Amino acid sequence: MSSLDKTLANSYYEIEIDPKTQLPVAINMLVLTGTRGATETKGKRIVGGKHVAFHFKYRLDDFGQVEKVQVPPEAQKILAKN
Amino acid sequence: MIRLNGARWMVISCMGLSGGLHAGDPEQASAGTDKAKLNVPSPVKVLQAAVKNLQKQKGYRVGVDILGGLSMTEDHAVSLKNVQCSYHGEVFGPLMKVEDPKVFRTTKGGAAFIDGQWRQSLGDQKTVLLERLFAFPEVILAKALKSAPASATWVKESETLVKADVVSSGGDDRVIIPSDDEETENSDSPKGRTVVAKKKVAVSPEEEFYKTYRIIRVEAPPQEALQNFTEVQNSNCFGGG
Repeated sequence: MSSLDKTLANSYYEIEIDPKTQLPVAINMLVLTGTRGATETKGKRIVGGKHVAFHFKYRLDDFGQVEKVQVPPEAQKILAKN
Repeated sequence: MIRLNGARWMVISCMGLSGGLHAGDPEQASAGTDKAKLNVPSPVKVLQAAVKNLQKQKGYRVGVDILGGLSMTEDHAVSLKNVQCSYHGEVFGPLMKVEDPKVFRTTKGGAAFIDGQWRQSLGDQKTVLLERLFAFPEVILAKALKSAPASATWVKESETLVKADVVSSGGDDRVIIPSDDEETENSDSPKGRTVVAKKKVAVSPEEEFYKTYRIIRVEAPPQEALQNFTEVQNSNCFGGG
């Protein structure tokens, strides 16, 4: 995508909190980038026209119910190098 | 006290009639009263508490739906898809285990089981998409927390910006990709005639607030927004471009 306008980038995070547990149960992330000459803006915010949009929707649950992760030795060697 | 015709009369001064009789702006007065009634908690403080509570958890499950491509509309719905994928994992401390593809990872990188061998997950095209797009929730929350003092606000569920399950055709009709959480049409719940009236329980102002507002929105600063996009671009989901 050679027509991307990287000077125009927006990103938003939306976190849903469970009021009973006060834990984050959902995390949404939106990543936007403009395209040269084709994106509509209000100030620096992308509001329409041609633009790139990436939507990420995370769900978190089973808090405290996950067993300890057992990592195979070969995988451990690779993780140790990082 | 005044004596009049032998009777004692008390002179009572009338005060406080002025309190409720001013005209004012009824909408402003109503909004102010509503806000006071709702007892709005600070989104920054609630987010800080949520992040701390998550750190105390030994582990949790996480799933992510990702949809990206070109959008032509104000609501940023994707009309020309570049990537659509989902991942599920278990997080225990600093470690995440993903089932498909089989990967063990930390925020510094991962080990993936590919073609019968364990390899660096960032070094293989089959798992680089996962590594670049599936961020640890703690990393996203840390970013949000950093920007929260400047931009955190409460939003309603109907106002959420992210639509990871909708691919727009560009017009009014949209293709909705079914998620695993969708209810089926054939419900097993019995349909009886008896209705049990629920006893009304008094709800606190804070509980009333959380009925409508459960989502905190934070806007990332421009530099961070660009970093987020660079991560997406480094996943190679745009192909040769």
